[in-house]
Amino acid sequence: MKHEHELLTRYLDGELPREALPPELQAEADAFHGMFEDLKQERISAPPWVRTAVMSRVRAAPRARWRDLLGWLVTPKLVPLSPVTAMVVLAAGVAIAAAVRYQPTAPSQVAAQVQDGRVMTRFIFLAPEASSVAVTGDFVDWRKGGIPLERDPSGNGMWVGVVRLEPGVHQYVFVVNGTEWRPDPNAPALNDGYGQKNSMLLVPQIRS
Amino acid sequence: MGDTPPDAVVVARVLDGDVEAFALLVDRYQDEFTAYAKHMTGSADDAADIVQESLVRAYRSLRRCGDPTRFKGWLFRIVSNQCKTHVTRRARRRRDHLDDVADDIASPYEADSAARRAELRSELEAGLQQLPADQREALVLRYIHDFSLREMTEVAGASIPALKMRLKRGREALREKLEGAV
Repeated sequence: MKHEHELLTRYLDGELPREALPPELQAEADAFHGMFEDLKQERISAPPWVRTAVMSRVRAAPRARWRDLLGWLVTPKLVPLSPVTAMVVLAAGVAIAAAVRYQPTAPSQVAAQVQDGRVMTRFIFLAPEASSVAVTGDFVDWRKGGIPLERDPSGNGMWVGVVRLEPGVHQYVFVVNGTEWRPDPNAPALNDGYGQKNSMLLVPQIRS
Repeated sequence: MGDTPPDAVVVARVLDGDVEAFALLVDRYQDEFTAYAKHMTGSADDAADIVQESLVRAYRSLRRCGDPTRFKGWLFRIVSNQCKTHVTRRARRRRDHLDDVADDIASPYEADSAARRAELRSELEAGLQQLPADQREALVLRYIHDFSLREMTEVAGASIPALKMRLKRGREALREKLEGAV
């Protein structure tokens, strides 16, 4: 595969003006932009039924104040935490978990460790009957293989894996036996619009 | 925008109970986002469905739009996420059914320049559809919708270095797919 000239890369990223390129790279840049010209010029309009459908659905779903409040309460939010605060929160969580004894169906957790700005996140899934479990989601472009989890050696049917995730809201599902997609029963679910549910996870921003 | 009220004013009216005001936002953005969704999905029908769903979702969660003066960017993120979910789901279904999307690319043929141009465009659209969703999104935003890298960070939710990498990989993959066609 032919590699892109560094100057061309910088021009196509918007860092250099076209005039900064030698003539042969200008021609290459023009050819690249030319490829998209027809698509840029194409006049695309939404069909009239879109407006009709949107407005009828909107009218059929009157807003309610209590729903707004509920929406605010359940909406994931980025919570900036200092490492010290995160450790305190984590320690409190561990203490509470110890007090109420171990729950085998605990949801996936966010740990307080950070590497390269990403947060170590532990995924846990109960599937004693499974021969393999993986987690896939937006963080791996929904690759079907995902990231394999490991069976808990204690024989409690739990599968566990740690993944480094960017702070923010992520969607994911578990893949059981390589074929069966299952949402996390302990996480908020989001209808993906195609009859399936994705699980949601908030990874907080932890300041180092 | 002429004498129509700015987005923030319309959003405030809708949140205050004026449901019909939402039509102003629909009229304002439905074409632009349909074009974007068509470039992302390659299908006018899918694009219209995605825009419809995105606008309804935007209405239902309008109170979560933190800064109504930036309503367009917020709506763009909803459309973009819908597009990415759509294309990743579709890619998954295609992989599951062992579809070979390369078959979508027309074989080259000799013809006049208009036909050749249409053929190139068809090959470009097919090539874009074969890219991973994040690379396709980066190319569509930057080279079809003329977004700057800074504007792209808001829609794509990625850093500038990450976007540069997506653009570079997308360009190289696209050139490889279209090798000999351009």
